[in-house]
Parts: sequence; structure tokens; C-alpha cells
Amino acid sequence: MSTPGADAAVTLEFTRRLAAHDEAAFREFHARYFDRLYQFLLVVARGQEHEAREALQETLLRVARKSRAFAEEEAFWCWLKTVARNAARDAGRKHHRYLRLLDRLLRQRTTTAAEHNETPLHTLLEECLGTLPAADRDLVEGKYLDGAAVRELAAGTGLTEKAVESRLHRLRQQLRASLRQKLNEP
Amino acid sequence: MKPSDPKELLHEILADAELDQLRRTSLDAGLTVVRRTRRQQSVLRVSLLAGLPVLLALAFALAWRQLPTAQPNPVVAAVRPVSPSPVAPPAPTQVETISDAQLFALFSGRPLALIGSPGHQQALFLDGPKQN
Repeated sequence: MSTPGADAAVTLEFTRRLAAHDEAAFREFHARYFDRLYQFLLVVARGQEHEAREALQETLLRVARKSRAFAEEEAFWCWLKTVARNAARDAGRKHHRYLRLLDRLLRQRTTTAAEHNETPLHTLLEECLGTLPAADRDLVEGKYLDGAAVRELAAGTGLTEKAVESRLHRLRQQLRASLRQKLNEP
Repeated sequence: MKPSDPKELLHEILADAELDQLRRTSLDAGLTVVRRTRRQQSVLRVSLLAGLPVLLALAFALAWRQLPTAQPNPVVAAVRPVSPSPVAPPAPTQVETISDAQLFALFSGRPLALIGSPGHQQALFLDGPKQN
């Protein structure tokens, strides 16, 4: 079990290597933070996947160019969020000048939410799951939250494994659309 | 909803071919930047390390050139024997202006003439150079 001091030492060592342009450190950073940053940027961009992805690419490049050493993971994540927010703002300036004012007002709202809750997507996801029929919700929760295998789910529902996979795929698409809609809501 | 970490679910929901491609291209682009930045830093470091001895040599050469005029040679000063009676420094040369009469008085035994305009006269011995 790791202690806070050991965690701090690990974070410091990792961020130092990243700041020193160590290739392995950048690979590790990419693996650890790609999805987390994308989810953060998806909230900042109010569900606009294209904008979020563009900002994500720019964020990763900025980190590759210039990073700093941090003693705590929390401080590092806060810095990453600032870099990501700035990248999203710069991308927004390029593509949507006429919406800048509106964008800023809305972003202020979503950014505040993002800062208070590290992953507001989780909250929105819970809301989206709540709108699903009970059978579908059980299937998704069984697969992703309880870690059940498709075979077990098929046995429990009386469906074939292929049918379960197909249904899960459809439900993921449905949840994705609901999530985007919720992020776009004023 | 069950209190569990929905990370995997979120990942599955948001993942698609385009995001997977972005995952690969962004990693490649980032690594390219990392390599380039490290190479630039190495070049800068090597340039500094190579330039430092040259600068030191230049500074040393300049200092060496100024050394003899700027300060006395300490080695020579150390080996010079101490004189029991200090030598008095030579008195500064003084030029005394004398009149024509005083000049003739100095060479009273020899035939002497002054030629030229006043102020630019030259003394001419009429008996030629004296043999001692």
C-alpha cells in the first residue's frame, strides 16, 4: 500500500521526467491522461466532440513542448486542466469568433462545474442511465459496473451472446447521444 | 445506479474509430515534439560546452597581452639583489637658455660664428671639428 509521501515522490519523479522530455514519461502520460483530458474537454466544449478532440490534440502537444515538475498529482491535474482550457479557448477563437461571448458565458458555467466535480460526465452518465428501461440499465450495469462477462449476461437474460453484444452496442450509442444532448443543454 | 467506477463505461461510450486514430496520431506527434525539443537542448548544451573553452582562451590571451605593461614582473623583482646604498633616481634634465655672449664665452679659444635669422641661429666653428 502506498503512502502519501511515496505517491508524492512518484509524481515528482514522473513529472520531472516529463519536463525533461523523456519519451517513456510522455508515453506514460499519454496512456494515463488521454481519456481523462478528453472527458474534461468534452464538458468544456459542451459535448462538441470535434472541438474537444482538436483541443485535446493541442493540449497534448503543449504538454510535450513544455511541462513542469509537480510534487502532487492533484496539482499536476489542475495544471493540465488549465492547459486544456486554454487550448480549447484558443481553438474556439479560431473557429467560432462570432460565438465568443456566448461561448465564454457558457464555458464559465461548465468550467465551474468541472472544477468542483472532477468528472461531471460521471454525474451526467448516471442521469442518462436513469432514463433507460430497467432491463437495459441492468444489462449495462452488469457489464460495466459489476464486471460480468457477456456469457453470464446471456445466461441471465436468456439471450444469445451475440444478441447481448448487439444490445450493448445499441445502448452505448444511445447513452452517447443522451450524454451529448445533456452537455449541450443550457 | 450502483456506486461503482463508471470509467470503463464512459470509455466505451465515448470511444470510436476517430478517437482511436487521434490516440495514435497524438502520441506520435507528441513524441516527435519531445524528441525534437530534446535534440535542440542537446545542441544548445554542446554549443555552450564547446564555446566556453574558446571564450576562456580568448580572455586568457587578452589578459596575457596586457600583463607586461600593466604590472611589473614579480619574478624579476623577487630575484633582484638588494642594493646596500639606494641609487638616487636621475635628476630630470633641465634645459638652460643662454645668450649669444654666454655662448661665445663658453668657446672663447675658438673661432665661432652664429648664422641664420634670430631665433633659428646655428653655431658654426670656423676651425673645423676639434680633435681630442
